[in-house]
Amino acid sequence: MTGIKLTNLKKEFGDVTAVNGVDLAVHEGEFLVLVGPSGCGKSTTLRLLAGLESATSGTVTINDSDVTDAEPGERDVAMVFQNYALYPHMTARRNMTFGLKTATDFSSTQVDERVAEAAETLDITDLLDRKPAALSGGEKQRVAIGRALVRDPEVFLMDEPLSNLDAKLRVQMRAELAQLHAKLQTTTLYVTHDQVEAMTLGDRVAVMDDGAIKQVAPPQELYDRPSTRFVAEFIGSPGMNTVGATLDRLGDRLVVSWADVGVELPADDVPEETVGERVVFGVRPEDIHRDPDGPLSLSVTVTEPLGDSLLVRGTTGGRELEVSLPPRAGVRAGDEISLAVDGDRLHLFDAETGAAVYHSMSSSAAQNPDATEPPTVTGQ
Amino acid sequence: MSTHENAYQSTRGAYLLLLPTLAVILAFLYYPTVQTLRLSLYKTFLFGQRSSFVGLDNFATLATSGTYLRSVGLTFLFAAIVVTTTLVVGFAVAFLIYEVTDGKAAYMIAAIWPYALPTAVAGTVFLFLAHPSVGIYTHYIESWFGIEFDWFTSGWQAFVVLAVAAVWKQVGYNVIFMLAAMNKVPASLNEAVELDGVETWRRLVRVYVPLMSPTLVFLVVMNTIYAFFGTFALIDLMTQGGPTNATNFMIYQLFRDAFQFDNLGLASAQSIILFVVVGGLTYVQLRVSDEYAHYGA
Amino acid sequence: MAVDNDTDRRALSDAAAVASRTLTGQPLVHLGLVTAILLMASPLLLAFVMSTQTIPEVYDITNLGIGSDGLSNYVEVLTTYELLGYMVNSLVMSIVVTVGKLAVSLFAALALVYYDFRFKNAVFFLILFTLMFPVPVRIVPLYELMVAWGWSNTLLALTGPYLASATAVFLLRQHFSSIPDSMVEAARLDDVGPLTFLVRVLVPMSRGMITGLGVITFIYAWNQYLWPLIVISDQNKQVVQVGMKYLQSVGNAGQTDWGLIMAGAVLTLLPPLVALIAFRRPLLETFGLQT
Repeated sequence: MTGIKLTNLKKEFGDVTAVNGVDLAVHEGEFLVLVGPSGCGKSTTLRLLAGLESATSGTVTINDSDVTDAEPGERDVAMVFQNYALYPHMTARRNMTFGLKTATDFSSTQVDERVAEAAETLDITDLLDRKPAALSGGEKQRVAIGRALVRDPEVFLMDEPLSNLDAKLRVQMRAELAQLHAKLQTTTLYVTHDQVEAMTLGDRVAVMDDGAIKQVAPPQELYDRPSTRFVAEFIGSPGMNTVGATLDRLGDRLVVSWADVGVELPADDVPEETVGERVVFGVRPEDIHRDPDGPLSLSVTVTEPLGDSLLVRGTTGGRELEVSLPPRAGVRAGDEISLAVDGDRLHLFDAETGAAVYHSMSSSAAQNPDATEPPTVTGQ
Repeated sequence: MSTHENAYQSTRGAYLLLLPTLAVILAFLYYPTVQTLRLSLYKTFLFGQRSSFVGLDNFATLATSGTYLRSVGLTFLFAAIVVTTTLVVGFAVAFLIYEVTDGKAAYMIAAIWPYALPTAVAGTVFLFLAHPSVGIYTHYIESWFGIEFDWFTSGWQAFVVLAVAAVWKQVGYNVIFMLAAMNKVPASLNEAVELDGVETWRRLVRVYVPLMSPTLVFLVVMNTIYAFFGTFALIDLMTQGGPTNATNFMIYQLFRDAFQFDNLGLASAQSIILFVVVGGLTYVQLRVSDEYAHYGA
Repeated sequence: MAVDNDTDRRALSDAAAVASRTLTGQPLVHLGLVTAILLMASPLLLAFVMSTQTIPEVYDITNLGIGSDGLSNYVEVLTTYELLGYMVNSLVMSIVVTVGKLAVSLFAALALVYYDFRFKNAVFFLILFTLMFPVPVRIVPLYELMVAWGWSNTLLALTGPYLASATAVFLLRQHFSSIPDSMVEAARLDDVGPLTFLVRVLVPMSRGMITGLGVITFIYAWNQYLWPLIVISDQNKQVVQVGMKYLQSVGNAGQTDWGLIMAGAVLTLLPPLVALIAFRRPLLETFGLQT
């Protein structure tokens, strides 16, 4: 198959295992985002793909050829770095053309054409003769992207390219990157710690933690059906509420309860063996609403007005819960409010492994086209 | 991100790049040093054509040679004078430049230029200007102080003239480093002391010197090395070790034994002694400074 | 008065510091500096004045005026007394040493920073340790080595031992280490080799330090005396520092032509002095002095 394939990729630094058996397939033309907290191994994975690190074991395949032992310069891969990596003594134009002679066999007219084209796409034509010191952060990043563009490589790699930009610029560049990808359709692997970037940019998103991939799926799937507790808490801003509880059957009703609080589940496909056991109950802040007859009674501790919503934090049955309410709900710290949950937006996770055992969402999309194994089911 | 491996992995490439450096240091630094150790145990004739092993005889000869012992004593005295004078003069000039508000850049160049002064030029110029029969300095010294100034015959005068020439050449180097160290003294410390009304002298001694101590130690070491090794041209051009060995410092005696008297073994023994002496001095200086130096603000 | 924030406070105390310095006698400082500088420059100034005098004028000791020989001593010392030839020898030697030492050290630093290989730390220490071996310790066997290789009295012997420098390697290595890794990674992804990377990226990014090291090396090489004295026996191959020694016998009828000798001295001083003044910024920065 074409595109990128990482098979059982491992990387050890001394006695630290940064990447622990990663399997990932990036389809040709796909924009796949690798996301996870600091230290999860995502950058290392990217660098293994680039050849900047050599794998301890496993293989890297690009477009059906095994490049595991190939030098970075032989892989036909271009990378955009977090700190831009522009040569300070060269103009933007020279930065963009410096590697072209060795990496490609374009003629000099072709080179000039490509530079002009890329500059126009990225709106940096006026900046081409400036040196990096005379460029702003956003402009530098665009030159860095331009440098990768003119290479016309098989694969784009991006290592947190927007992290050094200020918030507003980041949002703007995100849109530009999305447009760029729509136009070029180059296979791209994008690394970030920001799950908002992941969700907005990725055709599919791979969530990583502790050296392993927990789930790979399109953004909405990740959001609606996280396969592990970690993914559930990581995706979404704020992430999913998770509460340790017990699952019991009361008559013909399934109830998840903790302390004196009980929430009824639509009794669909809960695995039998979890009944009567400890579970982790998950529900997103935006799937909880005010309801005078609701099962949850929240003692509000903090409210955060975000403008488009009101984030309310409090305790119910001794556990912390976050709720996203309409902006003018008029709730204040110290209030007691009554809440209900959306019946088809509930989740259960195994108390020990964290694997998802139940999503109450009735519509289940077909199995996703995925990596060589089906990792959507359980993360590790 | 220092956990990841380095860029290039070719061991051959690395050693190829290192080859010139390694070849030069092995051939011209390590090998001769080792050879000096060996040679010092031999007596050589006919310019190295014939040699015989004599063990530590060379060292014994030196230890009992009045000329050599006198040379050692003179060299130490010379070094002590040159090192301290250079430090004091350098410090004074550097401090003045530090304190001045206008024309700092111009004063700096004017104070630093002796760094470029070749020792041979310093020697030649002083040979003339202080020449007993035709030098202008001689004239003024004799008329202002009423003494007879002839360092071609007076040993201690030759010693002094050499010392002056040596200090002259080395001051520029000291000024550079002292200025650099002074500039690093945090302005806030300076102000706190000034606002407290502490007068300049105490400010110097209590604040600057301690904070500059790593640089001062460095300069003591460098000046010592200069006094022992770097003054050869001065001696060769001005006094040739005279009059009557008054300025026959260790480096000059070594040179004579090796290249004029063809006594390579003895010269090598002197090389070793020189090395040990300077190495030992450096060690002592570093240890002493450890007690008094302040390596942080 | 109320001081609101750190920046304001610092500006105020800066002003106070300047004010107090001005008040405590800048005139004295200037006086001290001018005196010191005149004292330090006087030998040279006198030498220059004397270099314009004829022999009789020189022997008229208190005659400190510009002499009637004008600059003819300079011409004479360069031509009749071969100083130009010596200066050319010095120039060749200094340039070879400067360029050679820089190139060799750049390669070494490239290897030490950007390569992984066994014994890397041992090699670095091996290089650094040579700082302990000053010239006089090695000079006798070093000379023997030159004779043994047939290099005595050649440019090879004059320049060879100077071509490696622990200091240069150390400083360049430190400088290279401060360059972000992403630079070399970007180059690797473009299949740019190590030597191209050195020449096209590392060297331009180290321009200040390389210039500083270059000037320091040039001055050092130009000023060398002992080693050329020992290893060069042909007068016409000798460097200008030793040429000073040859000049000492110039004169007639028992009177030394000091004017001529001073002209030679001034000429010998000029190249390193000009280099120092022209490149003082990079040089001072390499020594850690911010200008």
